[in-house]
Amino acid sequence: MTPQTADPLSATFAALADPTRRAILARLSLGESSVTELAQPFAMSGPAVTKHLKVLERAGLISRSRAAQWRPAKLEPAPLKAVTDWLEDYRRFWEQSFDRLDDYLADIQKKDL
Amino acid sequence: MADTAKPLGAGYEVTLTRTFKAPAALVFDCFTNPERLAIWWGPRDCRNVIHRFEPRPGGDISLTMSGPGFSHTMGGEFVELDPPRRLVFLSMAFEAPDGGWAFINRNTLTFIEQGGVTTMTLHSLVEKAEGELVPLALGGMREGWSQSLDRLVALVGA
Repeated sequence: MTPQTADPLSATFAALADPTRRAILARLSLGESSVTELAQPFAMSGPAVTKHLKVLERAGLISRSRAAQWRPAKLEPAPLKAVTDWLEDYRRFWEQSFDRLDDYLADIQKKDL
Repeated sequence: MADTAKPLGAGYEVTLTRTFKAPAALVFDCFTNPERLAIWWGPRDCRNVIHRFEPRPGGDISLTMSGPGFSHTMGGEFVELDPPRRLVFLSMAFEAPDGGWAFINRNTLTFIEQGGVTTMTLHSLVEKAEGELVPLALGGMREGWSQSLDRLVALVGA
């Protein structure tokens, strides 16, 4: 709907399309976790979890610390902000549409005379 | 993230009121006639390509809005048509790769004509916010919405 948010949001939703990744994010909303901790509830291998983390990291939804050997993953709020911004845009969308509708109505009624 | 079963986003709403110097039947037609809608729908410089537009209860809406640097496909569904008084439709934005939509809003429009002027009220309710992240995001915007509504009240009251 706006040039600023259309592309990053596509990346966000592509990353969110997978239920495992959504579950990983849900888990990370409680606090940062290691790959081992994340793998546990999904009965998944470490490398499989790492693969999902890479997709999430590329979408900017999480970051992974390099400070520790176990590289904890952390939820990043910026893309979420994009979603809230979009909802504000939704309101602006209507306001601008109605401005255009106003002009259009004036226009067609002029032609009718 | 304990609340995913009951999305925080559902129930948020926006109300806008506008007056147009036109009969209600014409304003209403601008919403249900795709040739008219394509002209005004969307922000400045937006062009619309309408893929599907079925103005009857249960009828489908699909269109692509594009302009300088953006292109966005949205979906929708007509729910109730009572010309020229009341129109209800769903709008759907941000289609996920799995076919779901991030946001579904129920838009209720009422048209009241008096002395050649139509007062239109849009009431838009977030009916569904898909995914576990969207409700989380919406949780933080309670304040933003109420500020917007205050501005609207100021605007409408003026």
